[in-house]
Amino acid sequence: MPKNKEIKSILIIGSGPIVIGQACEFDYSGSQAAKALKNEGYRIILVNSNPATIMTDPKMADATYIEPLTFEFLKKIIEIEKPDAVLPTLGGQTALNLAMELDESNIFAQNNIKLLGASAKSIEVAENRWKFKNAMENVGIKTLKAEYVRSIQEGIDVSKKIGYPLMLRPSYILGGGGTGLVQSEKDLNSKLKEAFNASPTQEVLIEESVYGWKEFELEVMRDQDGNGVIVCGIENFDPMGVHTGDSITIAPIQTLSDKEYQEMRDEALLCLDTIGIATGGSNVQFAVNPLNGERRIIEMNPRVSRSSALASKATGFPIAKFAALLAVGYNLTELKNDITGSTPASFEPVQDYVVVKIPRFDFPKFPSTDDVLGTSMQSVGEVMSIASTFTETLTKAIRSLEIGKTGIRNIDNRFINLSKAHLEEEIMTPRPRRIFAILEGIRRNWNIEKIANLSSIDIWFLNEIEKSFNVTPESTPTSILKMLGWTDEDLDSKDKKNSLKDNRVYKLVDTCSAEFESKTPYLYSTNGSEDDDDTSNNKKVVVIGSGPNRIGQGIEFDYCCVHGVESLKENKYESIMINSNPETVSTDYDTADKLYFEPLSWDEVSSVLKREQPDSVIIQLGGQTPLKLAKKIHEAGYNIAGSSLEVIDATEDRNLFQKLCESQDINQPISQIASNENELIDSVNGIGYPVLLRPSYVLGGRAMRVVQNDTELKNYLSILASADDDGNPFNSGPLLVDQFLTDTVEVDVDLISDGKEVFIAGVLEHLEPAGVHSGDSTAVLPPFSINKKIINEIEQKSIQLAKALNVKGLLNIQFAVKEGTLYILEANPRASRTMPFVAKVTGNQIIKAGTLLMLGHSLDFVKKETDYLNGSTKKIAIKKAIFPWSRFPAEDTMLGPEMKATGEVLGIGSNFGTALNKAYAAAGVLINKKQKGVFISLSDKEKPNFVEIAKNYSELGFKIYATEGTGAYLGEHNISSTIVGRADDNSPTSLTIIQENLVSLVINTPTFANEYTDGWKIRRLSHETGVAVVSSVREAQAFMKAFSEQENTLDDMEAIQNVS
Amino acid sequence: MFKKTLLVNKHGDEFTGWSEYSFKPATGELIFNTAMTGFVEILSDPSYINQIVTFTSSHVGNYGLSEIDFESNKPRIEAAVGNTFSHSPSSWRSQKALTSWLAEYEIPFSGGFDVRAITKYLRDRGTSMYALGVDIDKNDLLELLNSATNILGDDSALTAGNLDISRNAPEGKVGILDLGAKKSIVNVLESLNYQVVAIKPDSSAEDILSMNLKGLLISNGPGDPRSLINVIKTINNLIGKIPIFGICLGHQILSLACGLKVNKLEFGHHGSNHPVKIKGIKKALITAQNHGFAVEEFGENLVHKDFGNIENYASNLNDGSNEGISLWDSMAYSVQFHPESGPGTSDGLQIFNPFVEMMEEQYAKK
Repeated sequence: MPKNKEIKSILIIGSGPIVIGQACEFDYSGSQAAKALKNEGYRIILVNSNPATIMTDPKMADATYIEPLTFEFLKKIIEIEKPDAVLPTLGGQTALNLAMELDESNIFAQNNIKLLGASAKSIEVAENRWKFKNAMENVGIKTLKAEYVRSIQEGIDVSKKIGYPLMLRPSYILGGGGTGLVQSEKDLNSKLKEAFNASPTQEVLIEESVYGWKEFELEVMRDQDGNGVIVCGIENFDPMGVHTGDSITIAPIQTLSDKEYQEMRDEALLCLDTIGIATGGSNVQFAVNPLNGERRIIEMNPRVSRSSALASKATGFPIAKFAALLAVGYNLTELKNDITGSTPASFEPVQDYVVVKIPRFDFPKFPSTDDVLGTSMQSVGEVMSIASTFTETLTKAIRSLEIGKTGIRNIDNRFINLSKAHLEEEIMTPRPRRIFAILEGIRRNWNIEKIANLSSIDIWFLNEIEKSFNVTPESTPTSILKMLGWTDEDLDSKDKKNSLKDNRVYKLVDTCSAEFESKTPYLYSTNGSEDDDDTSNNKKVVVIGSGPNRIGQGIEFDYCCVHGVESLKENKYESIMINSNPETVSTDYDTADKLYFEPLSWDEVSSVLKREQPDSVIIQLGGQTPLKLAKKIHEAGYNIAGSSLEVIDATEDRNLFQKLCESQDINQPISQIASNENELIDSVNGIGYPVLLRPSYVLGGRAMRVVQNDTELKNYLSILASADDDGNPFNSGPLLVDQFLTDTVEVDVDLISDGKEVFIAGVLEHLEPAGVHSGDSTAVLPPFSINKKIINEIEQKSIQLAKALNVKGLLNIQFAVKEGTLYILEANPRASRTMPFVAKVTGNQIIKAGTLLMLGHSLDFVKKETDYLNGSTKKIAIKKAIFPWSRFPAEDTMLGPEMKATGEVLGIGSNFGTALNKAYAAAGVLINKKQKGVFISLSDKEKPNFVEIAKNYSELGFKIYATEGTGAYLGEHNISSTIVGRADDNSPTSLTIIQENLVSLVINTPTFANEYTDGWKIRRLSHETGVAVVSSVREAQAFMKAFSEQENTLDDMEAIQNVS
Repeated sequence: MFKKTLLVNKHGDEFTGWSEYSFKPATGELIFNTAMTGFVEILSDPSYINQIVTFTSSHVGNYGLSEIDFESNKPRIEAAVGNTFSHSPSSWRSQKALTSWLAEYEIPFSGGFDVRAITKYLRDRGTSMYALGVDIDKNDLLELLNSATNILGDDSALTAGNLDISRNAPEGKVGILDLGAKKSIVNVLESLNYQVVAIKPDSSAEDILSMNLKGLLISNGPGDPRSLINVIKTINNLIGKIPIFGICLGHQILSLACGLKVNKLEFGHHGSNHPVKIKGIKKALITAQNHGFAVEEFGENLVHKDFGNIENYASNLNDGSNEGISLWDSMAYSVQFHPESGPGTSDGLQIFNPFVEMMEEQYAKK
């Protein structure tokens, strides 16, 4: 059926900030959908609160709202834009939930809006556990046997009926307490009691346990004619019990026979039919008992998902694009397979390669959290790799992780030195490092069945890995070695006469195993005898991507890479992208002229460079990852685009940077290096507390602390010592000791330069006090509290520094202002986390412009010949960071110098108050849902500083709640307050007033200790219930402005196309 | 210890792989199959007689071998080449490794090939006869190739059948003209509550009619359909007299029997993911395919002087080639793909419905 012509405009709901479980895969899907539907001539209205996305680029839609994804804002946007239809299936769970909420309130019915992709009814069946279970059982698809019980006796009866092992799940619990596996009747009683105690409703779900079963996912596409295809089958290496987002996964499915696979396929299609998914992409998850093939359907997502992004990258089949086109009435037989360009989309892709995905974790940033993996997702990113065998692909995936591992044979000493019992435990317990424990077990020649039994990992995978350890390089052909996952690093020097690189060829991902010709250059390297694709003699530029998402290096850098590529295309360069992250827009085969899906390690990158012989290599766009390759790229004789290696050295080397700043007359905080305890004490005495300490060998704020006194210094050293085998905190290298400037305002500057001229794209002022990592802080564009003179000085020094460095391309500088004096904190000669949002708000496409400057064009040329730098705005834009606290229930939500944020949201307004109000709303703070109250709890030192602001709140009509000491102090200053008890006192306590929605703000000045104190509980609860927490007078003042603009915020809305 | 394996065609073009096994050299038409599951079914399907199969799937045989999956009693291919063959499988159903089974029947197989390079070669230059050997001189293979049975003119379908269905009386049963029939076809008919009887290819039309069958299914099979002149004549004599359903080679036989042309395809269709549009069915079917010859396209329909209307019943959505004909006036139809699956999706099972309806209608008249 051709497309729906009754619909003229479509509202696409995005997924909001990057959080664990919902990351840039939804930027990829949203961008694809917007592009496809805009091409079809629809008016596209797009809402997303995340400014670092490609989908919110002005050209992607007709009206783009970077606004909070809440009911009120959506309702308002619907009133303004009056769309004919809403597409909710491309923005993850966020979009689906919002659509349901709007539907339930009849907003769609009242406005005559059609819901595309899935009906509200079918979404409800898919999302509601019991409705889903019933629907499946009715058509003969088996689900997990499960029943709710309310007494021990009921529990015993149900247990007999279901059979062991069982899973107990107490109802309405936070964080999984009382959840547990019961292996036999003897454990049942005690475990049931525990579970009943954990549930506030005294209700427990008893469920058949499939822990250790094999886990599979099928990615399904369906159109309104009933055409259904399985785009990709994914098998989990980690068995049931580990969230699929945290599992290593493999495509295609490796260990199912055709009969079993076809039965699963039939059930997946029947599941979609039954739920009533009219059109689009869905993912269906199954568990299979490895002992007898019994199968259970686990869940179904009636929308595109993280897995569908992976499936698209794994097969070349653009699920999101087609989901959007099917939603407006096309069917699969009418759409062309993008990759071949000749065959229809109504087919099932096949692979002649293996794809492996490995998640990437950031547990060291969350020291209170055990790193055991479970059913709640904890990974922050992922890598994908492609090659011709499971072992070769696994090696490439391990290399892609950027954790210093070169492949499956590269096992580090901490596993080699483990005792037998300890290694067994490491193999049994799913942790991010389990794969390496398994490799070590295989290396020790342990019985493979034993490893399979310990881990419940299918023995086929383990057998394949074992082959790699059972060959000798002397008697094995190099192509076979390579297929078994060997790399050059595994060969002794005497074997190196035959480099494994000699067998490296480049093959196409083409959806059809070469049955049809493909013209899309989506490439991967593998062992083989011939290349699939030729290189051109065009003027070409390679862009090196940012690899897996991690805290500190996320979607912002992918945005920059995509803009770099767009700039290259717009200016007639052949653009070549190398990246390993399947979630991203940069690894869409549609983005660059040529895509190499490869690990970003030197071996693979150098092979691509050698093959392509590019005119330039861009390393400024992908964060630290490409920067680390700079030296090797330069030494291999390739031309690094823009700023030279010296610029990187001058900014990264402390001594060089110090000299540079001195020569330019720019102040720096005092900074010293201590190689032993005596030197450290001398330094600290010389500088004076507080000091900022960090080990010299880690980047990105890891293990960085502000230390206030001798006790904290000792604590810090003992933490470092505990991480070292000999207990010497200085064993891994010296410590950096920096003067920590208190009472400062921090500022970020983003600029581009051709070495002679400088264009300052934005100056951003941080709201939080000094000591909060810039990635975690709230940034305001333009500055709101710094006077003109200082801003001038900031701009002058920035220009001066950029010229002195001879920056060609991008530069980000961080300054601190203390009592009118400017200090420089650091400079980064590359794209920064803030550039995407600065570009979006100001309308100046600085990444595109910067890319041209890197390639040798002058700023003057860019200004004259392109429209990249024509923007300007009068709006105030405020970026707020988003944190993964809900995934890490044991962590303190207090911020510090180590970055913890996974994503960001933007509030744009015509004044500071509305902008901040929106930023809060987008971050989940529910200002308007709470009563007009503020809870104040101050440390003695801080009490005097807050008297004025407390008075202001009181005058504004806020009811003031305070702890005993704070209340007394405020009373002395004629501010009346209600005293609340400590967390475990009788009500009212600091916690009950938050729970009962009596306050919209908590003012809490924490002491720097990571303990389960009242402060910890207050901060956690505030986060969970949507209450703002501030710790400085600046923030409290800012909140007041946001609060007083509540009434005006919804009316202060404009599409981004009109903002600049 | 790995030994070099060599795959050559008469032009002397070669591909190399590595094998840990020794085997006698073999010849056959080199084809590629893009299926990612169903290896046991493919290897035991008699349609692959006189063919060397290139599996494009990265790994072959991961889940081992289970006799339930047999399409006949043994491997019927001449040889198999691929990227890797698993000799340590994993599945609760697995009885042994695929590799041990192939070795047991002395069927050559070898991994270590760049299967994509083979596929592209075949795609661009068409399939032809190849010889495969291990640790062997190229000239020896070329010599062997000279004495190989060419797939063009190959009539091995006459002897390929080995359905073991000995029933006393054919009366009231469904006859399968066994040109190398797959067990899955029998399984589907049995699941539809029909008893099945195997008919030898040399049976005459009179013999077949005298059996008082409910219907006749012309099976799949190997080789060149145009060489089966007597079978085509027999079917020509049966059209209109008994419900007929043809599958794969059976489709080509029915088509030849009513005067349509059959040609060799450049590289054929071999896989489990081919979309087919059936007249009267709204959604496209994802089908399993395995054929090197195809019925020449003839437009939407033709009128045959004896059999009436011949319709283009089905077409391949990838390349538009003919996938089926129907002669509803004469109670006959056929499809090029494998509606019985084994391997493949269950999408095609509904294609047995017209056969069932015709048989029931016809038998009710008697």
